[in-house]
Amino acid sequence: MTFNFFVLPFSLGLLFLLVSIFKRFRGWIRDLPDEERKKFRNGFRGPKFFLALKEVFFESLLHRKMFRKNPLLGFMHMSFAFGWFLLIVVGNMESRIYSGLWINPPYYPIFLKFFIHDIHVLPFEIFTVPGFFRFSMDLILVFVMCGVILALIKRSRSNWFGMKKTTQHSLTDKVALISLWFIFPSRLLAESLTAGAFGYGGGFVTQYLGNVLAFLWPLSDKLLAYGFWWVYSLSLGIFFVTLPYSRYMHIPTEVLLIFFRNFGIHPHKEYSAFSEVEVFSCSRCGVCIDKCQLNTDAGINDIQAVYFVQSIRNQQVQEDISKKCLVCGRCENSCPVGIHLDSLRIIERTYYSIHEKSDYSYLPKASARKAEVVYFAGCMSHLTPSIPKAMSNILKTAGVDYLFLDEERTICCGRPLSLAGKEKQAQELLQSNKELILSSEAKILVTSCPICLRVFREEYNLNIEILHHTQYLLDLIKKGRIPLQAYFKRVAYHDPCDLGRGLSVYNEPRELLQKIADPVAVEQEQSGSLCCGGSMGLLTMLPEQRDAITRATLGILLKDKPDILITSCPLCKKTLSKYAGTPVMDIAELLSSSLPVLEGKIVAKNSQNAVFSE
Amino acid sequence: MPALLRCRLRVILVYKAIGNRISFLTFDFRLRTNHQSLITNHQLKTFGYTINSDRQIDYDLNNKMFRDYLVQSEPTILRCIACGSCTATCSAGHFTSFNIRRIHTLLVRGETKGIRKEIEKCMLCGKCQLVCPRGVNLRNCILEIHHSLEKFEK
Repeated sequence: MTFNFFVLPFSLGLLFLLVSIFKRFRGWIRDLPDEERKKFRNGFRGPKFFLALKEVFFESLLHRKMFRKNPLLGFMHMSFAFGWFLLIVVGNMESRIYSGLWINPPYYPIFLKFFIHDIHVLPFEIFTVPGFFRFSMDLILVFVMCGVILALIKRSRSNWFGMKKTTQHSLTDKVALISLWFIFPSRLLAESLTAGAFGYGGGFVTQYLGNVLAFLWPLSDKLLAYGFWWVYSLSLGIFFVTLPYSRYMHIPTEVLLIFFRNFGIHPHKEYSAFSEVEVFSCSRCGVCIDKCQLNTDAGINDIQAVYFVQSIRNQQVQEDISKKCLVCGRCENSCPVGIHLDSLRIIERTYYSIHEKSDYSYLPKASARKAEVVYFAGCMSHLTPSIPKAMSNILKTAGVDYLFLDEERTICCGRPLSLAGKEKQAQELLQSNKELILSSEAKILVTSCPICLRVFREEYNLNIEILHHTQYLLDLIKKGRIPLQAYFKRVAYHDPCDLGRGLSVYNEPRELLQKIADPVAVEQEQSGSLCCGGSMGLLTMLPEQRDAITRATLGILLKDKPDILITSCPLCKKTLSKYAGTPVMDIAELLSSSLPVLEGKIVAKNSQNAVFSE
Repeated sequence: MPALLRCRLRVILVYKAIGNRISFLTFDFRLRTNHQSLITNHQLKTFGYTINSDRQIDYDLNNKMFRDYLVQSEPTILRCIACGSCTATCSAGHFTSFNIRRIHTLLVRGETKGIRKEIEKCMLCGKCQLVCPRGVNLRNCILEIHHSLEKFEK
């Protein structure tokens, strides 16, 4: 006997699922630009294919990243993904050995225990242990059931899993979720009841559970078992049909995403097939919700990355949801799938200003004095004049031949525009600044603003060394060009988003601080650091909510009561000093104040301004 | 004394509430000399003065769509006290006569002539927003001004 009507829901569901996944994948691969499609095809031939396979195994099945961040959550996902994978693989082996055929109907391994009940030693098992398959299939089923139980607990007690807030799911997601919950318990019951009714054929769990159940209901167990086989098949069928329209589409899509990434396909500045694959790879796990400061501090809980990605997928992005985001990168940093959430947010912003124009023809044609080093303060540093002043002081002391490029007036670096989705306009500013910088023929560009630094590094293509002032100053100290005086005060360091998560500059500021002060540990630092709340990425929010974020961040930074709060971003300084109560200083200011007082000898000759010829 | 002459040409607004709608009646006082005789254009020109164009603001005729749209999309705009800090710190203002305070005043009045050319100069650097003592989301205001011009003034 190899057929029963209850296999139909499963088989039809599976057929539907495979067709829809195939259609989607084909569409995405077709939408790739020619060059990337070529990369994708070639990728399968090279060693990158094996790297991708390895990543699929570790991330999609074992959930290694999730494990590192949260072991319990990682185990839950692993038991589902890896357990189910093993069920499929071992089940297929078992069914093939039983039927003696290489090709089976696809439902055969799934419902094998309904069709076959025996305790024969299979040919394969001669090499291992008698009953190997029955034992291992039961073991895997128990493994998966652990995941199911954890998932059920997580629904009501998410804080046990370290999650304060979980995702609010849509209706399709809920249907898929409930059918997923039903799959494995119904399989367990169906197999147990069948084994109990026949008295043999089960493994170490199903047989004993079956015997107990048969003892409790001796009359109806065969019919009951049949009923549960139907439930099992139906829940599988419903899950497969809802999968392409629910969050579970992430299961197949994430595999494709991993292949894309390994084959060298990257996100673009506009919405591309890659972005689409990223959007569908979001599992709506909700890890980003607790990371979002808009949720934890400002009480806004409908704009987090998970909801944003969902709204892109449903093609109904509200202007509000794309605008209300700090673009601090905390969600992106925590995302177990590695979706480029920040760039998705910015891409979505471009649609609102697509027809808008700008006119920067008023910007002067640039030419600057020749110098070794160019210092670019940026707009924000001009709001905190003590930073450029300190920089000038240090550079003069070190005897650097430098040019303060924007001492009198600044052309914005362009990042605020691109953060607002005006990439085209940003290019104009970028061009003006680039000409000005290159006209100085400097070898090093130093900026005290991480916002400028990021765009200089990522967009300008200057082919000169571009350094954050902390990096440059540390270099000067190491070369012994800056005399230091002991000035040990307890300081807490705040990592600016663009410098830390954006450019991974974590060590230089700390090393510099070690030399001039006594840094205290901060609770959330480096890649987990908080945003000050002043972010240029956030376009609209009530100022009170912004202030709430600033206050909460300060609460964590000032926990150890440092003498001075140190940062390396003028915007952070400006924002934090509003409510700090403790002095807030840039590293340059601290360094400048720790310089020994010069006795009338100024080493550097002069610092003439940039000369604009208009 | 050009300043004196200019302020003689003044506009007086009389507010008269009818229901919940406010209508503005405008009166125009012509320049008069001590002898109550009208100074003609010709006379002014002879003395080297010019007459500024008429600055009557008829609130009933002006386009209030912009104001309504801005208030709806960025409510913090209502907090503005027109202190001008934004304009004083403006990066674009260092290069041109770009004046966000003026643009705001004009738009709220419903005068949109020439706004588009002006607003295009903004570099969106955000200094204005940081110095604003009232917490107006100026960057978003500027984005929304762009947006409203696209919307209402095609």
